[in-house]
Amino acid sequence: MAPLRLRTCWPVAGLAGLMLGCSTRGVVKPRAPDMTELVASYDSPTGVLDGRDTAQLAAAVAIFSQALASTDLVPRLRDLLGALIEPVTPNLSDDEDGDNGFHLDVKANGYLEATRICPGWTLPSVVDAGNGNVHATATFSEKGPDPVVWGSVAACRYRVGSTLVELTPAADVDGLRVYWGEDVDRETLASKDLVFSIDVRAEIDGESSALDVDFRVVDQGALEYLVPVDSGVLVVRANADGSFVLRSRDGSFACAEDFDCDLEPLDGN
Amino acid sequence: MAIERRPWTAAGKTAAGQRAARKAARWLALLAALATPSRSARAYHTEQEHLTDDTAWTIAGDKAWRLGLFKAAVGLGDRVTLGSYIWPWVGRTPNAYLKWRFYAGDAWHWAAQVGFFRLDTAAWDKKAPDPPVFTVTSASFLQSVRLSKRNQLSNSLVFTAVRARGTVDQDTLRGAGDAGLTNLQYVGAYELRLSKSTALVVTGRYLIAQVLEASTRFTAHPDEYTTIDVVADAQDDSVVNFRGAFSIVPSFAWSWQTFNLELGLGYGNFNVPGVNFMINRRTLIPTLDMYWTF
Repeated sequence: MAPLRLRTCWPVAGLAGLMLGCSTRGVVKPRAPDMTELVASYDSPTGVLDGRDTAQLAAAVAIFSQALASTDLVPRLRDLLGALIEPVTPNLSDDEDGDNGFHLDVKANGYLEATRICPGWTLPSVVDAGNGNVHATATFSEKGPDPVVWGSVAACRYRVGSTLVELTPAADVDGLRVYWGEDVDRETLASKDLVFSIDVRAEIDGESSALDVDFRVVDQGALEYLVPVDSGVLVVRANADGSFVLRSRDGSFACAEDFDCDLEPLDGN
Repeated sequence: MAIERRPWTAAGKTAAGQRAARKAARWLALLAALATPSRSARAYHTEQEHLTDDTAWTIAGDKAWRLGLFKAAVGLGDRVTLGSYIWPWVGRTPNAYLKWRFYAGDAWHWAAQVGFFRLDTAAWDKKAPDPPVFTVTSASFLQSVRLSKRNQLSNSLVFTAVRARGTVDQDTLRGAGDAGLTNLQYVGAYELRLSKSTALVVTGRYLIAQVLEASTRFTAHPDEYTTIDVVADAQDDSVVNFRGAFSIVPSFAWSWQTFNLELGLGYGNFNVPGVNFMINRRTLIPTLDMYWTF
């Protein structure tokens, strides 16, 4: 029987070789920035409430709020995130969805790179590469989109009402980072808590300033700013009525518009 | 061995004419045989001649050719069969298979078979810059055992890889893709010889695994301001999630001197022959094949 064994071995080996030879090559994904520590800061702020930080807190939050409102950055970035997630959201219905009906309807591994040309300052806006752009990268695996999206701006010009805005990079590193977490898809994106880390230069009506802000969008719109103080970082939530909730490592505190905070923690700690 | 060289004489011309006449006679005999398929003659389910579909057997004995509704094949000796599916050629799809019976014992026979299809859609769409090309490669490992004079059992594992490569070019989407579908099937065939010319064949097929692998690169334009480049590869069985597909097809195989007829009716997931892709729906599966061996 020895000849039989010898003769049967190599067709089996050939079959195995054929199977191995047919495997596809893997995609090399770009490496996302690590936002783990930043995200953890919102749940575990390291700073303590100190009356000496009041002025610094009030000034930081006022600047951040004003800059974000003037640049209309949050809704614009959310819109770009929506466009990014579209191609990797499986189309579960049989309906065609317009002229862009292309989706990865299988569990896939890879990445997306989106470039959105900015609308410019003219009215009406025109598609002109000279108006700069926002570039964003997202990766995904067979489980779905990976948690971090990152990108940059390149002399991005647009209007917010009558205000002329231009965003330029503040440094060589990616100036836009967003943590959208696990299990995000087209339907859940609007209700997801999103952690933003922005580091760009914003020229608003000709006045240029650094826009270096970390914030989280919660409850479908409320903003929580991460503000560094001498003792660490504090999380400041801006309420719709102008008041704030300040979270420190000692607990949460209710604060008035001028950051006159109730020293009795909200959660009783 | 010495070969006698005949001089080119009148006698030689006569001999040449006789050879031509004999050749013509053989063709006439062949045509007559093809035209009279029901002519009963000596037994053709023999120890030398066997059904070759889904078994380790190859064209053997005094037969060297097979020509039928679906396949054409030639036996290269008793151990090797080279063949092709006919109808894909109509769709400009070259294909071939080669079976090698590498072990032939008294009861056990083992064979390996490889097959290849290539479909280039450029044959229909000449305007496309990089039209999809499909290639199908299959490899089978077959074993047949003679249980008794009347009973034969064959088992085989069939591995098939389908690969598609091409480019889509539209206003809103430009993409290139490379996709592969691989599957592994088990095929069992039991043959009960009822008479010299009639056999009952029960063929069972089971889809052990089927996996889609794909890599793609495409560019989408969700609006006039935005361009999204997507680079992805995938390995997934959710879109081909019918592992466990099966079929059982009993049929009768009649074999006469040259003509062979197979008729059957089974149930399960139909398997596209050659391509080895099982349809994701269970239906009745009628089978019909007729071919001539000579």
